[in-house]
Amino acid sequence: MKSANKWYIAAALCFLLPFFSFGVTSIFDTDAEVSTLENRALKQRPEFSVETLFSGTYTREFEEYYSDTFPLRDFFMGVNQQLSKIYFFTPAG
Amino acid sequence: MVFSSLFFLYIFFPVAILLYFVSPTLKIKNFVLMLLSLVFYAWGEPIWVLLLIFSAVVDYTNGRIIGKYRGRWQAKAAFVASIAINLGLLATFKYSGFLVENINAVTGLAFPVPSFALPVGISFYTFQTMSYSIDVYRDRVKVQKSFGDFLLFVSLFPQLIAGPILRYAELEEQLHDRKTTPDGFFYGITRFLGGLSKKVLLANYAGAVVNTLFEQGGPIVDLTVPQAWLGILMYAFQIYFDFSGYSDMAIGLGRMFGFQYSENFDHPYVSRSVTEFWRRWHISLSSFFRDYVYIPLGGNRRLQVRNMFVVWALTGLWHGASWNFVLWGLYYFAILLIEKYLFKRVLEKIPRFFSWFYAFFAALIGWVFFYFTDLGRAGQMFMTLFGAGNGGLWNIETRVLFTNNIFLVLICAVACTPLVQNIARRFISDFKEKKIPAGVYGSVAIVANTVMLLLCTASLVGSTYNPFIYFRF
Repeated sequence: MKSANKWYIAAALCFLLPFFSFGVTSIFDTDAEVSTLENRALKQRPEFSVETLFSGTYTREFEEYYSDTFPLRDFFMGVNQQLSKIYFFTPAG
Repeated sequence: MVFSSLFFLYIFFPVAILLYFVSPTLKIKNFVLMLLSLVFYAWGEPIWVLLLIFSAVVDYTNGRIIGKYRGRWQAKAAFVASIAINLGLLATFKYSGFLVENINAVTGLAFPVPSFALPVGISFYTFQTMSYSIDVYRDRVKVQKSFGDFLLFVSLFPQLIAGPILRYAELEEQLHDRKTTPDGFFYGITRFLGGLSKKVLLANYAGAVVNTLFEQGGPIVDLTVPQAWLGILMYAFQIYFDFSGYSDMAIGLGRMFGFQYSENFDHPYVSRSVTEFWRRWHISLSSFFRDYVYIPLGGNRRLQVRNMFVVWALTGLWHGASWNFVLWGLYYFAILLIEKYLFKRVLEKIPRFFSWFYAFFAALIGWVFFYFTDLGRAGQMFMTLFGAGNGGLWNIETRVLFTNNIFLVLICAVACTPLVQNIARRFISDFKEKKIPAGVYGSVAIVANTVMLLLCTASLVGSTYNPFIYFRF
């Protein structure tokens, strides 16, 4: 059982790695302001105020900003497009 | 905050794991988890977090009073107060608008209709705190002396927003005696990702089809018959993967923090009767109503039909303050009654396929009542489903719709069966019996999890359609 435990711990750590590394990167990287792929302006970090915090708009806009400026955004968009092709099947011809 | 958001996955979750596991003792871990839970709730409901705390204070205090004056009138008064306040909160925030609208409609008067924004998760946490008061009053659980521990039970973020509805009795011991084991943690992660995939990779896509068919097109009567059936099938997929996926995520997160929650879904769409369906669908809700309403009313010993009626009307109403949900509940009351007295035997005898088909068909019809909050549109939908609409039987759009979604339907259909779960279980048991080496097991598990995470992240980055369907509950 001891050796199995070691495996589980290694596997769990391995697995937590992407969460932590993307999390840290997402905080410290410089945010893009426009997406050339989508041809639109990306959400920018909302300005903090007590009113927007209590009305819930601050946290909502912050989440939108967070998704818009997520690291490797264009790569993930590409993966998502591939996925959509499977789901949204259009036979050739 | 919802689990299926990048912010939760990559900021809140790692921070929560880090803070929890660097905390040296369980007391500190509990405190950290409670603070995290309040932040989690306040993130989406910065004001209503006070209501959550208020609800916890009320039931904590009443619990103490019940314990102190056991058997005397004060205990009874505290018990009644607890139930009245919980139901009062629900009534005010969830049902007052509905009630006043109906009073206005019946009497022709024009009382101003109150419109409260429904605080997220209120239907879940008021039920959780009520289970505590009731069980303390019945002397089934000990009085919780620590307010911190009680608030932790009420606010515990894994199940706070969309269940499962946990009973205090289930968590009583675990609050001060639990341990995260390495395999439990690993199971938790895998379970969480499985749930996330159900929500993001299946429910959202199925939901997009539902949305296109029912919300973005013309009137429902203009759909063709197969379009209407595909739409309701997709809705059946969406709500199942969304809801059970959320429960899986809750169970998985709970396990990472050492909690064992009961299962909430058990592959409902393989049921062979409606009775079976309800033993497999949202188990924590039906067992709540069974133990706290049905049995106290007399269960099957006294006035069984009335008791069933009450339970199903309430089950319907719990899902939302609107007549269509009541109808949905009563529809199940009627079917369950018929099944019980008429064709329970028949269902057991006929070939599996027919009994499955009957139960699945019944569930689809049920979702029509559930989806269409506007009864007029529900009526149009029934006409269309059974060929009395204007859309006819087939057209080009229908063909395109079916070819486009063929893989989605197939994947969803397979994912409704216990197949994936059985394979995973077999794999784990083979590993435990040392039939497969740890290296193989570990790599497969890591690859599977990484692929799920990659696809979910991609889908969350790329798609705009990520609805939150519990806002009514």
